[in-house]
Amino acid sequence: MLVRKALRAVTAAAALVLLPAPQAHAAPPESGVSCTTGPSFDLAAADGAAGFPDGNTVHMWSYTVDGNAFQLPGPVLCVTEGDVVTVTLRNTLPEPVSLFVPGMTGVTADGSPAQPQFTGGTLTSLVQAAPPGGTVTYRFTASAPGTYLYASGTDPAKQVQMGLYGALIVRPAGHPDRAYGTDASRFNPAAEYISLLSEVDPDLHAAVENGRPYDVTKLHPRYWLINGRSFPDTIAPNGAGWLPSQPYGSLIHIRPKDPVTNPHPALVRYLNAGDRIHPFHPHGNHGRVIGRDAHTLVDGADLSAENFLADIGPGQTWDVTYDWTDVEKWRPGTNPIPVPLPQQQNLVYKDDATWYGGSPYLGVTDGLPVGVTSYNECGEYYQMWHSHALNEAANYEAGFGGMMTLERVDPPGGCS
Amino acid sequence: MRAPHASARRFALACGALTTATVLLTQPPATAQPSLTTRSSATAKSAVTALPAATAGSGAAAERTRASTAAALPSSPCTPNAGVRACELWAKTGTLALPGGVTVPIWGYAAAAGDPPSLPGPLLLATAGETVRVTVHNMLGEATSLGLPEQDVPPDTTGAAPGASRTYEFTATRPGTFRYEAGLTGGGPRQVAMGLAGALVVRPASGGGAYGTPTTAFDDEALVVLQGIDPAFNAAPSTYPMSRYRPRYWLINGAAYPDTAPIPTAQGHRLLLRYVNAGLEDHPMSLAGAYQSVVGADGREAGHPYTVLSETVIAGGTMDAVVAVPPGAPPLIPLFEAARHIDNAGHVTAGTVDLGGMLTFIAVTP
Ligand SMILES: [Cu+2]
Ligand SMILES: [Cu+2]
Repeated sequence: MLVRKALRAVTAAAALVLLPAPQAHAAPPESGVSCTTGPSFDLAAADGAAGFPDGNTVHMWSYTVDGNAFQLPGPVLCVTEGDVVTVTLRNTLPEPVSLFVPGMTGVTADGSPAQPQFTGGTLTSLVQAAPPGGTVTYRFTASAPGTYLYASGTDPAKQVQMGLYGALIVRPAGHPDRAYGTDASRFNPAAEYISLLSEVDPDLHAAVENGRPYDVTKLHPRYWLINGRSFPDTIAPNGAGWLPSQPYGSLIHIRPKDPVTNPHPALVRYLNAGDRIHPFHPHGNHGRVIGRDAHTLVDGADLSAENFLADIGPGQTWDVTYDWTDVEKWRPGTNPIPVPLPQQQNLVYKDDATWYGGSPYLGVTDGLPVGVTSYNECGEYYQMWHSHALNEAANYEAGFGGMMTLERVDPPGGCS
Repeated sequence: MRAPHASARRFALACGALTTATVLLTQPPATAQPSLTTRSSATAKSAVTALPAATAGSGAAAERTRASTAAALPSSPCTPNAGVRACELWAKTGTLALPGGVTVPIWGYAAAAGDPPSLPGPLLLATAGETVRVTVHNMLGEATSLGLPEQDVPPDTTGAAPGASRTYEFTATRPGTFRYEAGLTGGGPRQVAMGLAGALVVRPASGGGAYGTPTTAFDDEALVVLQGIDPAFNAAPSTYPMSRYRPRYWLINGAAYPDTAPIPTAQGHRLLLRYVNAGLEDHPMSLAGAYQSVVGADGREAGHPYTVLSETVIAGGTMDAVVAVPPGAPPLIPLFEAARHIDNAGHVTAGTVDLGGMLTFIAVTP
């Protein structure tokens, strides 16, 4: 608890010291899950490019809404429990591609049971694929609520690295404010987030783009992504114009828990489409793991567990709720922080810009050194959430960046 | 920074009631002991040819697997005799055939002096309460000892000299899935990487199931031993710099797909998967189209089983998971390493990475 207390006290300060400059366009972020709603989806497997904060652009493959611009990752497919879901995949890539949902049962592909594909005795795909220029239609009943990962089941060692992955959310019928079947999984639907984790080794992507040989055993990721972006792009709003093919931010934007005005927690749906275990660590508050792989841990016996580091393994989805509780209630007049605060000029990190509002007290702003730009709006807190495999907090080995985002805690009354 | 596995569903190792254990020195056998159970090469490679060669949409896969029998543990060389389970292992050099015509030298355990070593080593099988006596005959060119994590056996840093034998004895105090491997002599870590590792299964004295409890009951069971092979290391096991150790082949029960043996079961059955990670890296193991309930880990029954698609079996760890095969389950349920260690040295055919590595199928009979 001492550690938590200390962390809490320096929350804002820590963010200041460690974080890099935002993009020039940084604006109040619009955050949260951005659904493509079903239950019928027309998707295309296509190629395009993703940009990273160091200015590099990487050739990617991904799923897109057919007819729309290229996007990474694939669209967040949102359906309701009981929906008969149809996904038609049109393949514009030069090799067979599939859309494989390992967590789903009873899937058909073009009317036949989905099953591994063998050609001449050789396993060619874990599920039916669309040939180049062709289509395949998958159909299933979304019988169980939860978070599902979809990805190519064809040449996964290459295609999933190339970017063919996305999230599928099945919401309980009649209860978009629950992750699962009972109120035990209730959350604030205005604070629902996706954190889809993945990695990019640009060398493999360049080899695929240029038709050169590659060796997947030599994979060496240089970019570490949340929702297809790396930090600081992760905190840019959904649909930010300067990230045209990476529409999903991952800023977590919440208010302190309050029994009357904000009684329900935020929900973060983690998915790992990568090939590394990502030990994901939220600063400032523990998470409560309420579900794994579309299986509840809270309906019935409460098997949920609080932690401050969730080891999200490949192929896994974790549903984690967060409450931010103003435990210490530091107030400038009545309950001041009982330690000397760092000098403000020492808190400003670089490029004369900061998220710090000039005061360590939630909801309070104060003066900043001359020449410093603050993105702080109303004394809100910012805290890092990141992969604690710290080599992943980098963009092509240069920190800070990578698999990192921010949690923004607004004052209890909101930010006006 | 993996240390804080804060989840309550990680199972801390508690110090239970320990019994005394001894390490007995024995003279090297003048000749090989008679083979107690000659175990055919561990990986049941003959079954591999039964892997369905179906074409898309045909029912051939189901047809081919219908003849399969239910999954069971491989035979064990350990013989019971008045409460003592005696097991003999021969540590020796051998070779392993990998997909693509690649053969690498290995070090492994054999169940008889005249047998080739197998990857993984022979199953050590006992019942809770028994005294287990494992004798290792060292046919390697360097000292080797036996490590029995989770068992009450003092670490043996001396081992058996080349040509000598050493006997280890402990009481199998509790049921579970455990690992054995080359122990803590100077060469031990390299010996493990060369393949000197296997599974120890202790059955409950009563009550059935993996842990003598209804929640761990099963109809069929299979070992899923995970190991990696770096051919460059295997070519020079005593000198290769371990900082460059990087497996290029990934094995389930000593074989890489398509050589892996399918795991036969039937609709409505409870299939127990006893995962043993005898390799040097963590492996998330996933199903597709079915789920697994984690009922134990590291030889401890889970207080609260939980159900997942994919769960990480950490290096050196074990995990017991029950697949409740649903009625209407498809004929082939992929079981694969979700960190995409499902290739064979990255081999590519016509621009596509061949599926291989830690991949097999649970073959379901209606
Ligand atoms: Cu941190
Ligand atoms: Cu930290």
